[in-house]
Amino acid sequence: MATGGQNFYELYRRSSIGGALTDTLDDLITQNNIDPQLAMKVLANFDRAIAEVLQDKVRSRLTFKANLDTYRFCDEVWTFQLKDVTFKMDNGGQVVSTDRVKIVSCSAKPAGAAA
Amino acid sequence: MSAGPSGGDVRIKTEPTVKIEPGLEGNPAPTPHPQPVAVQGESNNSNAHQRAIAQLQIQYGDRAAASINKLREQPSGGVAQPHNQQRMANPAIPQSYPGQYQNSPQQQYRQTVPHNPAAQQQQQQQQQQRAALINAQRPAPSHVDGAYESDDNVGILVQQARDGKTTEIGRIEIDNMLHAQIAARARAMEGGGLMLPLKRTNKGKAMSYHKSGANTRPSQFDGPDDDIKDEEGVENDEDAINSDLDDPDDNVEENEDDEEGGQIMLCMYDKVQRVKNKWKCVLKDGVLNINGKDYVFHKANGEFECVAVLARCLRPVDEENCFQLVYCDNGIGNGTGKINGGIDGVTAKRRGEPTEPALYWRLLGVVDREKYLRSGRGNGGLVAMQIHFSVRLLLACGAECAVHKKWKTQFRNDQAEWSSGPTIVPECELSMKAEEYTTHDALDEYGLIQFWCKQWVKVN
Repeated sequence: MATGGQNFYELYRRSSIGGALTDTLDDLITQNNIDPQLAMKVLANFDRAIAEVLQDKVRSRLTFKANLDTYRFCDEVWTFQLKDVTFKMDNGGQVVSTDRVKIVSCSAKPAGAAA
Repeated sequence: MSAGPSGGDVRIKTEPTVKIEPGLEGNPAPTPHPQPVAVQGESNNSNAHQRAIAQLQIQYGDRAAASINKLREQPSGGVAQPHNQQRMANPAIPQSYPGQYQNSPQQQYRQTVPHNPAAQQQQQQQQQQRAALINAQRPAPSHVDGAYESDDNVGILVQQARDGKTTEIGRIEIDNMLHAQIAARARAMEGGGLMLPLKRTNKGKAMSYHKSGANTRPSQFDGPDDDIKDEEGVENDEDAINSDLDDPDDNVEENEDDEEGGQIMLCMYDKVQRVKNKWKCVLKDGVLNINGKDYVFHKANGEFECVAVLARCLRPVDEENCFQLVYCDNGIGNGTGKINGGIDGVTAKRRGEPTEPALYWRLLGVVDREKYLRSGRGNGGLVAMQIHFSVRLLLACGAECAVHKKWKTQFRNDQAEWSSGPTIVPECELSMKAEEYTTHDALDEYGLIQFWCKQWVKVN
């Protein structure tokens, strides 16, 4: 969901750590260990935590070059499909390349834009 | 009665109703259901009389007022008489009011294919539906003369099976019937396939687009490909125009990175800029998963180029520096014209000019390079957006493009400087309104443009 002061993007649930969390919660729910509502709360917490961590704790930078395959901008969300991507990490100049990457990117602007 | 027929003519009007109804209404099978008007018992007559009046009302509305009055004057039991009389008296001109048919296409249609059982059945359904929708309180037309009717069924559409069993038809079935009917007509009119919603013609693509959008923010769509499954049968036509564009390989490729969950970057954007086909973006707070590893970053700068060469399909068309724009007409317009005859809803200088909306492009399979897409406008009132899409796409691909003067007013972004010459159109921001998407499914169009571009590149 859009940010709204207390709300955070659910975007990062698609990351590997988010996926792991989701799977775990899923297991717990199916085993009747927790309530689905609790799981939702946990996920909401995750949304907040990862956003804060990425914002405050992470300092690394990277640059990348690529060929753009498709792009889309809808609902303030950019989606790019890139081909032949080369990432350059700032720390140590590590270079990683891959033939395909998809970028899903929400607006960094605060909720004002959405509201 | 605008046609102003005399009293004798008025009776004619009863004829199509009374005469045709039994065959049409009774049964899907060509053999008419036993619902003869004349056989009705004495006790039934007054009821049948009333229903005949109601039926007239349903079918012809006000225009039947005279008929109805006439009927009311007649003693019950006399219904069949004028009908016979008339048939003998005027065998050649049983239905001779042009005015009558102007507002009653169904009736007209019925006349042109009176002996086609399938058509009759369709007509029957349509008529039932129409009647049921118009006035749920009235008996469905099929009951007018029917021997099986019961008053309990008033207001519900009832289908009579061959064996005389009646089944209630629910709203959904009615909808389905309507839909099938409309689809059949559209196909007949368009030569098959042209009027399929774009959403369905490249469903795989649409699906992947939905998917990527839906996970992050509430989507504007009701859900991914709602009716695709239902429609599968309709479009499983080998000869369908779009079949070669529905290349399943493409979709597999598209979906891959979605499915495996890897090779994805989730982040926020600060800035996304494009100059010609060069993109620059400033991203932040991201998680990047590639090659099985996760990377996080606080800030990332990305530069990429759009590699599609759409410009190749942009050749100057003709005089006036009228450059081509490519946009998708999603076919919501009437699409009445012949392909080469200028299509309704397309801005051509005159009809008959070879204008080719996107649908036609699809028809061509983007192979015939002598034909190109001229810019056009749909009649959905979303021209601006469509052209915006096109312009942005073309620019992104490094193509030079311009917007013809006459479309200037169609644009909502007045800051942009438009010209009729082949100049670069300045960046124009799309105004993406939710309602535009929902009504027009423009996102799918957008996806389709890209899709086509790729196809084009492939073909070349």
